[in-house]
Amino acid sequence: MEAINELRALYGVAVKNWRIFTSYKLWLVSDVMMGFFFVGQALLIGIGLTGERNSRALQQITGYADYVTFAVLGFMVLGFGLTFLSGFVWSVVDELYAGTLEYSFAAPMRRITFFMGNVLTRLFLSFLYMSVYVPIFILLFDVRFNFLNFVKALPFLLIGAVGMIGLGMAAAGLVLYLKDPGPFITILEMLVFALSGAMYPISILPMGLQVLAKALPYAPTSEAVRKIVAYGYTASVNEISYLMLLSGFYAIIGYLSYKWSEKQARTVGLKSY
Amino acid sequence: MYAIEVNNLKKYYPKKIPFPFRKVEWIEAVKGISFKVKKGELFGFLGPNGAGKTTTIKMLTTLLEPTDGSARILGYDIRENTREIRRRINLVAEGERTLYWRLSGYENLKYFARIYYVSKEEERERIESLLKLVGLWEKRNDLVMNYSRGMKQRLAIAKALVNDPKVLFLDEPTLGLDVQSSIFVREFVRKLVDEQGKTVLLTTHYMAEAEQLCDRIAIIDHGKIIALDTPDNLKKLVMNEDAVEIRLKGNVPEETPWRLAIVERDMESNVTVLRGPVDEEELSKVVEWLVRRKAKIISVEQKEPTLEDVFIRLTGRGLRD
Amino acid sequence: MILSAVVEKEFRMFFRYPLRVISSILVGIVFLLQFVFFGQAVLGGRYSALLEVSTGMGDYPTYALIGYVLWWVSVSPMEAYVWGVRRELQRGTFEMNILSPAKIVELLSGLAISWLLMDSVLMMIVFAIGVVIFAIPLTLLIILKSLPIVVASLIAFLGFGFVFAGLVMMLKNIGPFAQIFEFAMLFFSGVFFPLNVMPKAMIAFSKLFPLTHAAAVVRGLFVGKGYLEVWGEVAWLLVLIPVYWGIGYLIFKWAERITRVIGYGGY
Ligand SMILES: Nc1ncnc2c1ncn2[C@@H]1O[C@H](COP(=O)(O)OP(=O)(O)O)[C@@H](O)[C@H]1O
Ligand SMILES: [Mg+2]
Repeated sequence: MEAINELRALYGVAVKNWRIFTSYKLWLVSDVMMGFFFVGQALLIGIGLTGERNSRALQQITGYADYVTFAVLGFMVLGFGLTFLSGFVWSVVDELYAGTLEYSFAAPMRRITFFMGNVLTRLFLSFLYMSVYVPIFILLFDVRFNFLNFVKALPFLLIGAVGMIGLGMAAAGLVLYLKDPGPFITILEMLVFALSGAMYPISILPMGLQVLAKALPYAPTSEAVRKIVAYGYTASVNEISYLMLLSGFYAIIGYLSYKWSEKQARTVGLKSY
Repeated sequence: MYAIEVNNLKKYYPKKIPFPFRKVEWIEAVKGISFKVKKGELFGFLGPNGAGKTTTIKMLTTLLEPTDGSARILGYDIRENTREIRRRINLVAEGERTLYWRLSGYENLKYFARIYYVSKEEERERIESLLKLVGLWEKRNDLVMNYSRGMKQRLAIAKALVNDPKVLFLDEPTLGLDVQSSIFVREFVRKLVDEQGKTVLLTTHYMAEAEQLCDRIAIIDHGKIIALDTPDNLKKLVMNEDAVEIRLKGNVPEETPWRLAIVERDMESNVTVLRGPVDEEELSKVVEWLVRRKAKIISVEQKEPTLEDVFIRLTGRGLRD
Repeated sequence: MILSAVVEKEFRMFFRYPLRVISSILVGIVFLLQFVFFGQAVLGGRYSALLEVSTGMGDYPTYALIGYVLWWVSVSPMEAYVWGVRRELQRGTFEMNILSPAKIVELLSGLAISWLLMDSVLMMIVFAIGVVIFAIPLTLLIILKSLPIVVASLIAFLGFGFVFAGLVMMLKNIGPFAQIFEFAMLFFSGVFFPLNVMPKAMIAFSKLFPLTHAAAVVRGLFVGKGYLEVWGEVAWLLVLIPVYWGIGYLIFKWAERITRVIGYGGY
């Protein structure tokens, strides 16, 4: 019974979020266009600079000669990954600004249900975007990859997601107690953006940033996914095991910080704006 | 010359943005009102929610273009001479979000003083005296977001005096305030008129406030002025009628065969107060009628007629609903 | 002075929250890095012979940085108007400003200028960081020579931005519109890639953006050309400025009229 109630609450949160999202129709349009903008930009940069559809230089560093495919895969992992970070954090902050967070938290549902409801909606939206992107990219930009391998890579996208959720929860827990959370979140998003290796291999970055990139769950996820799509499982054992380790670590961090913020909220209370 | 002169003023809002070639429907918010306010008068606009009070104020303060009709403020036309008018008037707008919450009280006044062309020499002195006048001098350096609701309203009033306006508009100035703050605001406004000779137009849906404070009152409902006079004269309309207040428990039909209006209703205790002009002969019929409908009468009282009774008599409704 | 009053007020509020400064700088840099690093990864270096042939400038980071900074300069006024008005609407203070005897154009310009001042400082920081990260060869003379073009781009969009000021007043929320327009401009003006890779019709279309010409001129100056050699592009730019101002003025006037009918209020 308990479990069923919790599931109903989860569904309630997800539906509410879905309603809110879809009420901003123009933002959805502009979100989807963003994907085409990035990938189109990648194609034109490549052609404008090399005049070719393949790049020897890129193949040497990453194994991918087709730079558009490279960018598409990276972009999808990034879009997927930001879903969790932004999803978590903004859902909390938006409600905080709107003044409804206390009501949500005062409800008997578990707080984790509240977060998961948000994640569920975002996840659904992400997959929706992908189902729009993938066929159109294939048609428009002539993106080619081994589809079987792509499906094989999906489970590891989900394993990466565990780590991303952990990070998102840690951030959401922290953000509640900041004076001005908006810019802090933007800073976080930008770091993730730059260090995700979506548009370029992180080996191109200076050493310090490379280490940081390796320490966040994003770049390892996109590297594992790319490698699996290109070479299959056996060649990617290193990437896979590192990713699993890292995801486990972030899951723990996320859980702990969630516990901490739960306690904190009861002692110091939530701010209102 | 009158301070405010309004002639058949109308405002219809478009339901959608009226792009060229788009057919839109219109909401008739103000349907042709006329009145005059003398200099140094405290004039009240009394009406229920949605009556068109805010809309009228916005037109008179040049924030909204009237659909039809005309109005003059201090002799200036509200369509043609917006800048002349804006120099000489000011407004305390409805609600609490009319100031910069992320600035201090002092910084707010300084900003508004400057966009109202208050000269540099006068600026400091004026801000200081205004802040002292509304009792916020001690708190001048606190951010407005940390002010209480009552303090925010006092600052809003100080802001509205920053250009030493001849005519001051206040839109529901005591809405949502605690009792003390409401009293402060009322007394303050009265003093502005009595001691400084300012002309004030304020709106309210509190009967007692209008009655106690205003020299003359226009009662507005559904975008029309249905009565306009001094509080005493308005009450004369119902002087010869009895005002009866019936307090009862249980369900009450919205419509009764008499001019009885619901003036109070407490959902929790299920207590409702009906009020209206009922004479002695009718009273027992009314009570019988109510009892037959399973209402439990708690008390029946004879009251002094108030503006509420005027409104009930004119509209058949109470002001609150 | 209305302008200084508005600017002072905006600055006070902006600098109460210093984290905003950092986040804006970071957004600016990351956006730039994405594309330049991508280009370098594809090229396997920074020099592209093809780019040199089609545009006269072979060093990709320099090419991209110039385009990017000019794009920023062009977009800045639009953002300034959009966000300036939006914030006032959200704060609920917009009507109180309109109510004052100050002219609406003065108030809006004040909002825009405060943003522009803050934004150009941010932009210069991002430019400086870009110069360091990508080791852009640079001389003071080139910067000075380019300044008139930077100013011209700014002026063009300062007028055009009034379109957006009018639209926000009228519609209250036009976030995605502005964003789509800004990115379209980034795309069609060849900020990160040479325009010749696009179809003919698109190249013709790109001529309508002042940014296209401004970028071409500055890139020319950077590879050592003089103003005389890029005269054609300069002429385009000078012709477009009054056109953009005219469009901005007309649409703003129209939107202001409508707004007076529906009300300035927020929500
Ligand atoms: N900006 C607007 N657009 C459309 N309708 C409006 C607008 N403002 C007010 N109204 C409508 O006009 C009527 C009068 O509103 P208002 O002047 O605010 O009344 P009051 O201040 O007396 O409560 C109401 O029916 C209201 O819904
Ligand atoms: Mg009102």
